[in-house]
Amino acid sequence: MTLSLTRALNLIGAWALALLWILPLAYAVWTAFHPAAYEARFDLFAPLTLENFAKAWEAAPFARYFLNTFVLVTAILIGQFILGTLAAYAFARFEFPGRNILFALVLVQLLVMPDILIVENYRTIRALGLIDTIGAIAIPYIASGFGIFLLRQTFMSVPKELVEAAQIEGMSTLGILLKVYVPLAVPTYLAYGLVSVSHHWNNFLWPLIVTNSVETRPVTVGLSIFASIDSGVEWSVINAATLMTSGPLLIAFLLFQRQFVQSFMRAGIK
Amino acid sequence: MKHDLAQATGQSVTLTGVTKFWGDTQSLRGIDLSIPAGKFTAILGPSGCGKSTTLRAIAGLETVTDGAVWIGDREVTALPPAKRNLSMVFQNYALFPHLSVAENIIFGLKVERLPSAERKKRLGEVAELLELTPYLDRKPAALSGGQQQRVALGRAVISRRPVCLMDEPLSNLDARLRDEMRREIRRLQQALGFTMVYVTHDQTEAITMADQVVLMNEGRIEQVAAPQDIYRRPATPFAARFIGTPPMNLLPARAFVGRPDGIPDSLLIGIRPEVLSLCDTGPLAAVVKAVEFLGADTLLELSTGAHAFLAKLPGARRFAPGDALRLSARPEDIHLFDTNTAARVEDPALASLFAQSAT
Repeated sequence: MTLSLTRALNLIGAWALALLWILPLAYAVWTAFHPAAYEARFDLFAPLTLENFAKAWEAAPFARYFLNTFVLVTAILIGQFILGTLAAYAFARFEFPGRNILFALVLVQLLVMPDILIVENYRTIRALGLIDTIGAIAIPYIASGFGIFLLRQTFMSVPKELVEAAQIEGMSTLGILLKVYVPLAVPTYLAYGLVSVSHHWNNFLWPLIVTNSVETRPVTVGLSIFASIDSGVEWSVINAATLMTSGPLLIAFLLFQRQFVQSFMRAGIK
Repeated sequence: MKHDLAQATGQSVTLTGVTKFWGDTQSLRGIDLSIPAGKFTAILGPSGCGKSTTLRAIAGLETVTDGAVWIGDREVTALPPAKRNLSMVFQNYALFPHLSVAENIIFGLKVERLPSAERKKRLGEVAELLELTPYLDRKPAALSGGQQQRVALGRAVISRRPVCLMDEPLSNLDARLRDEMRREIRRLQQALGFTMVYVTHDQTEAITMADQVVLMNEGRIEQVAAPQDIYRRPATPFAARFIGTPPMNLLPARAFVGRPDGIPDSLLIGIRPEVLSLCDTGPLAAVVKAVEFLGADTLLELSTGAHAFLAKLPGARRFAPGDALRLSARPEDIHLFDTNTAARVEDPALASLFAQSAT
């Protein structure tokens, strides 16, 4: 009796939270697919339209924004993978003076909110003469403490015998990293890649500060500029644009969600 | 059987004065060892005796604190494993889980950048030899223990390296499979002619497979000999006890009836349980403590005074606890050891005193 009551409460709670969470998305979908007249009026038989999307697409250079974001997240991901892999390999399997201190510093990076560093990062980027480039958005994120930590933990769980077997077979140190460690860490790369891509796809504040032209703006910044046009707020068009910009990420997440959750579970068990 | 693979010829392995410290603990205390080319050498010893460390020092997976390692006429002490030109089979096989059986086997050939046609040819031969042909596309996880073992063997032999190291490769298999693989490994070694260094804690494996047994204890070599010789003429009390089942009885002179005078306490008389026989005037007067009937034989736990020992007698006769027996052995079956030097004493005249019938 009490058990079924608890269950009922759990169910109600879960549904309530789910509905609360999906409400903005549902509203966005509703307005995006209906004419502007139905923005604040719910009618089940309101006519469906794709006009809002066409309008939004023409009103701002979203194609360019998408390209910028795509280049940005790819560059960050590749940079993070290369740096993270090499650093994690060093921390996981090599003895060198200062190793523990350096690794502690990497962990400390996990505790620092990136936003605290915005001013300092801006100065550095300006000193490098990179303001208003895609590189400027990417550089502060390429050395990722989280990535190094996650990969180090995965690499440390690789059985030593496998590495020794590869050594005996004549493989070089770098070869062992690429042919033994990396293939065995693929689930971790996948999970980390999804986190990284979704985070940098959605990142807003830093790109907003460091970019000021169409050629470099990612979709998030482009969207905010598009949404703050003074000529009245047209929710249906803004929401169509919002759906458009977050669509690819949403689809990728739905496709990969099983692997995503699984690989993090596995990473936790090891 | 004559295979193309037999082109590989073995190289000798030599260790001189090899020591290894782990912090303050010394795990190898000066190993001098010569492993002949093309022969099967088993390194045998209880766990923690340093046998695996010795193997890993040969492989280059452990650095040595002192001493030198030679493979053939090349000193390899400071070389990394990749440069030592040897292959190795690990206790848990160490197969790459993300690669198929075929890719696992040719792993080393790919590293050597051997042309793909040659790789294919050799893979075919090895797969045939080890009966792995139907499984080449599978992942190691989809194989049984014995098949995984074969893949590990395949990876070790395909590159035709002159020296092959094995670290307790059979300890994860069940008894029946172990017997089978024992014969297979021996056959492979003889067919291909490489030098085998095989680490085991199982004396049966060492004795049945090896041309030469290296017995180790507490970081030292106790004896290096052919299996027959190590059984017939153990060099130390440890070797006497370690080789043979049940182990050899080691008794002080006091335990013998009518013992000769003037025998120092440091002398130990070794008699294997299986060479003892009943004899009314035997020098060992003992009381039966326990009886274990084994079918063909009967194993008796006996005691004479304060000393317990074992005897393995033909099974026909029945014994009961409490029976008083007299036992003797032939003079050539008596081993003498000096506990001060932990060494064998060669003194046939003295030995015969402990075989003679006492009055």
